Amino acid sequence: MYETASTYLWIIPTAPFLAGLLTFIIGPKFRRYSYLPCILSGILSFVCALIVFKEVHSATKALDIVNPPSVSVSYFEWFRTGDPNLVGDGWRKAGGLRAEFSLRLDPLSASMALMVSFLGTVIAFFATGYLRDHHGKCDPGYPRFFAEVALFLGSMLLLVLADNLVLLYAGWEGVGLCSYLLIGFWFEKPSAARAARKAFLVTRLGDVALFLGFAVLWVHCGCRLDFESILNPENFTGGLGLACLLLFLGACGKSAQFPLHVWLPDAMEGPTPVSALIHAATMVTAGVYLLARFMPLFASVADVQMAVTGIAAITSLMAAWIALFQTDLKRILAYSTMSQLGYMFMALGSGFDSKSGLPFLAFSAAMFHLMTHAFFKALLFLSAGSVLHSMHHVGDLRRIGGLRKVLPITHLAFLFGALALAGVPPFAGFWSKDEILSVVHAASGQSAFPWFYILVWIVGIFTAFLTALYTFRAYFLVFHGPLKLPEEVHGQASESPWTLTCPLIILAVFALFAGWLLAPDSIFSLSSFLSHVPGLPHVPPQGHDWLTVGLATSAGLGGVALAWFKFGKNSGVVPFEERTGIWAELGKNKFYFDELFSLLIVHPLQWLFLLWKVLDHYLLDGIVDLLAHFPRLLAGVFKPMQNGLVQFYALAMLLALTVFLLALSKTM
Amino acid sequence: MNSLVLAILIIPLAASAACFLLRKAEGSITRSIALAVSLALLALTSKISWDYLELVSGHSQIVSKGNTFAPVEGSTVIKELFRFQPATDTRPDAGVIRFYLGIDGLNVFILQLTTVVFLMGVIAGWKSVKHNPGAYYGLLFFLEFSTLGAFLSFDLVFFYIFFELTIVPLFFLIGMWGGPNRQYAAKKLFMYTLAGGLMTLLGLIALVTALGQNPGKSNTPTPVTFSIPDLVSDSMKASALVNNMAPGDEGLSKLGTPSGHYANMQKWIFLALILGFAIKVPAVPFHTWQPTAYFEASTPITLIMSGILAKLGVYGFLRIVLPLVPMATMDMAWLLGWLGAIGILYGAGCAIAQDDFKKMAAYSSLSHLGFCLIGIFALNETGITGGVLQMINHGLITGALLFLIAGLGDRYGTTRLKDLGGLGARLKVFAGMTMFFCMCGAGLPLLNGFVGEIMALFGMFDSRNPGYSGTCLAAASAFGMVLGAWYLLNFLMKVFFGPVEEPPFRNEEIPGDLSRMEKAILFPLAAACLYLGCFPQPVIETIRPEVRLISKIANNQVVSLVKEAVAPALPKNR
Repeated sequence: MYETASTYLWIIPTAPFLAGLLTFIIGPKFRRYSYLPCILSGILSFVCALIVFKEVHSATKALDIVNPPSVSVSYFEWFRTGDPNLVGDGWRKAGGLRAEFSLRLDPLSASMALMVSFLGTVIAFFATGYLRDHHGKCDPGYPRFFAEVALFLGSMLLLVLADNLVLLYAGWEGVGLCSYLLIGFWFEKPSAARAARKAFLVTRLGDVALFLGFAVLWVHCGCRLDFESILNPENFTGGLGLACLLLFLGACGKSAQFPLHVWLPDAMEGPTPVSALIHAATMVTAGVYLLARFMPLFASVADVQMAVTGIAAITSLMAAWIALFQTDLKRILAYSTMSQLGYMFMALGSGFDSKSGLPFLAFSAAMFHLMTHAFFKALLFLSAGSVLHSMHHVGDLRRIGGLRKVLPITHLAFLFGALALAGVPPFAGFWSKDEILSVVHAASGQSAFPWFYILVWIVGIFTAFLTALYTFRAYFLVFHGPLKLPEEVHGQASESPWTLTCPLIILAVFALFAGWLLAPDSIFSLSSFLSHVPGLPHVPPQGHDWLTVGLATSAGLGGVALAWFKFGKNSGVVPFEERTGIWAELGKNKFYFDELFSLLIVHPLQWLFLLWKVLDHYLLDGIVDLLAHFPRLLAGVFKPMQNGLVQFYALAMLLALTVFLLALSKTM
Repeated sequence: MNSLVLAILIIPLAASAACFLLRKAEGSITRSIALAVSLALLALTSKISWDYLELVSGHSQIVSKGNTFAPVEGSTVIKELFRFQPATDTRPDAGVIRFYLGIDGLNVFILQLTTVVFLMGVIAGWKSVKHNPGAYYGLLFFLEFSTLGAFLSFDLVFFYIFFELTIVPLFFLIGMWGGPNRQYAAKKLFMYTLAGGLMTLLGLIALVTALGQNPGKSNTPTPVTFSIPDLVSDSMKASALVNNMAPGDEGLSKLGTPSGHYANMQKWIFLALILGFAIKVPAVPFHTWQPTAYFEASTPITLIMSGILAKLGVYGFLRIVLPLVPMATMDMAWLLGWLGAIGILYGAGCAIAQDDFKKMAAYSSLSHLGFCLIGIFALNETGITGGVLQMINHGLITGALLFLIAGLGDRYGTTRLKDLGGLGARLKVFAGMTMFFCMCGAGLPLLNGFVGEIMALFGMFDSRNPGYSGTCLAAASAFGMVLGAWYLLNFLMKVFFGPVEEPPFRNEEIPGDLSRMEKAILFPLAAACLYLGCFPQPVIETIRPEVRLISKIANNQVVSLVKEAVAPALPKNR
């Protein structure tokens, strides 16, 4: 099976890679048209992804669930050491390391590839307009931007299609690099430069954990790295818990979960399309994808799953709280992304009993929310980008307002995204968020610690309320009330050009329909499509958990209503950002995480390294220099003898002769 | 191939002499000669690598020559120089000091790297070498001659001579063309590495005599030999006998009984040998000559030291220590493993604390070479392969980075981080290339640095690797990847990001982007880094026979190897 698919599969990640390289080389010569390779390769990838998706889809229809439709296509060997015949046979002779360029095609990778290539193309198209000023003049880094976006798309597609750990790691690091480059796109700004470095280093910390996790898997799985062998808990001799914990830490870094979340808000220094593509829709969901992919392993370690859920609940609640107090539009959305990613991890962590249907439900709920969130969050970011573009990059909620009339299309797009995020039916977020909370609720029934999952469930519902509140706070402040324009605009604001609004309209349609279409009991059901992913026992769609649906929806509607009373009606309440009190202070200062990080990690390390530097120079090198003085010191002892006095020499000769003769006479 | 082998040794020597003779001539003439000779040497080594690759892919039987380090057939150059013991029937090559050169999988790519790095050194000094260029290039080629000689030698005596000879031109190159504190740095480098080298010499003498006293098949003592392949097979026999002597084992008792002398001596020989090599690499804590030397030397010389001379020590581990004192290596690999792991973290930490990017490069070299040690002393095939790859990759990456640093020095006359800023706006291609090579250095997958690092770490990580806590070491070293990214990103951020900051221009000349000549060397190098990152397998295949041999020597499998060796084996490559 899959003859056609394997022909097209390799094009999906390769085309954007080559486009990126091409743009780096010849982009500066054709500045105005340098977006073409990126967009065209994105379209090509999307078409190929569509072809392979169709094939997988028809395969899922044709086959029964016993034969899961998944195939791995191997292109060539990346590297290999060790003798494969010696594997698992004693020590030292084994340790073979083998990685191939092999891509995996199954419902999970096909749907991810489709989503990434589609959103990538749409957002790149948005960026062609966004990176020009109001006179149509390109940003100085125009070619660089599209080269890096193309590289990003290539890496991201490699990440989701990879069939072994090393290749996945390659994609994983590749997206990290592109994120670094794109956050620092306006590199003249010191804040952007610092944010880029911070993003790279914090995620790298997670990457090291991921790398170690892969090493643990490799050691305990007979030196194999391909998913076929790795994703089966029966192949392991131990170490699963440790490995899963390390993988989750890696996911925390990439997906901005507590405590490695500190880079994401700062990453908003990058251009808005980058925030939409990388820091909302695709790269930050890589951690969710990773855990979803490794669900067969995670399902067998219930303790780690509890850690996943716990961290996720903390992150989602904390991020939602912080978002309430932010004044920068993009930062609100960044915290919202963090919070929503927390939801996804919450779901993933609820899949613990590998015999039951829970892992599958958790997996499909997380993937469902990943898909819908990708669309509506990209929509929100792009609408924010459209606002920023017409407001000359002023995104401070205190300086803009009442833009409803000025930016009608953007207003509607943002409203659609906000409704989806708040979980108002029938928008996308309503469907997927309820799925997640239902899974958590179901998990509480099967766990050995039911109160834990009940607590997480309550946190989830409360966060749904906060989500609606902060989203609509932003919405009302930006689009309602009296018209407020920043000085930079000089009073001339108008709707963005069609290159910006077109993508908004497309994504708004998705935000409206995606949830309804992909919901478990619809004809395009994502979960029944994903049920063909091997390794997880499949269960048919469960009936609705009406308690959860009712509570979560009313929490969302309540949040919207409260936001309207506070910010929509001009009731003259104290703005959140000016409130005092401990919780408000914590929210305004992001729970002081940046300060804690620099106080507890960065500064101590810097002092330590400074100490090393000093010790290196004075102690280690000092010992060496001291040793070098030793011959001179030794010489100093004997030097006085060479004093040039004949009498002294004569005396010495006489003494030596006496001693010699005495010794001789003793022996005789 | 053997005429080529001789040629790559004679050409630099001749070029050195020519440059000295022409030292009265214009600088541009010697500079052109230097460039031409470097290019010619690069072409020659490329030809050798190419031939070798063809040979390996064509006749794998010849290359997997079993159990000695004998160089590949047709690449050897042998000249008997001095006989001090009569030859015996069993060992015609014993009792003689020979000029014995050859190519095998271990040195073929290192030779290639040597000529690449020297070419970069010549181009990096294109503008900055003004004072007495004839002598400078004369010394430079003498350095290349001795480096190539050390890598090519298959005779211990010549290996040692070439190995120590490298210090002499280096002493003058640092002492005469370096920074303000150059004489101190040169003296320190000389004394320190010479002291280490003398320990190595002691170890080598002890090794040769200990193996010579070891009875072979018959009860007549084996004549003393300096030939590395012969020594390897002797040591294998001796170590195998002590390790695995099982009473009543027919196959083994035929070989005779071991004398305990060699076995007892191994620990001391090991310590003496590694002292010299660890100083040469350098490994923590024997590294303190390095920051001063790297900092005071002119940047092209730093490039050569870091790019290739550091590899001499690592090469010594691979060529001498592991095969010749295997039992001690097994016992004490943990020591070097720890030195490697500490070096990775310590070097990276010190690099972060530096305020000068040339010093940062010096410490980063310390950190990266830690990965070589980690890999090699994992003592399994994956790890050793990683160590060798890391040698090659580090040479390319650090070479390129120091080349770029030399470019910054030429343009702005400073190497201090705080003097520069925002150059990404001014030197666009330059910044892009620096970014690229920094990412290679940070070990990003699909670029060359990654393959060596993952192999070294996974080799160390293998839980079947007993004797010392490989897992801890690997885990600690993995954090070197974060620290490594930290100083590289600091450097990039300070120099290329932010608002433009430049020191006042010298000569009223606004520094330009990469010149044509710089592009001509950096672009192929970048392509090579990308290629080696995506397609490292040919290199791995080429070094595999030797790596497998080393990993088997340091291994209980020696027994089966000896049995193969005793049986009439493949024809010797003479």
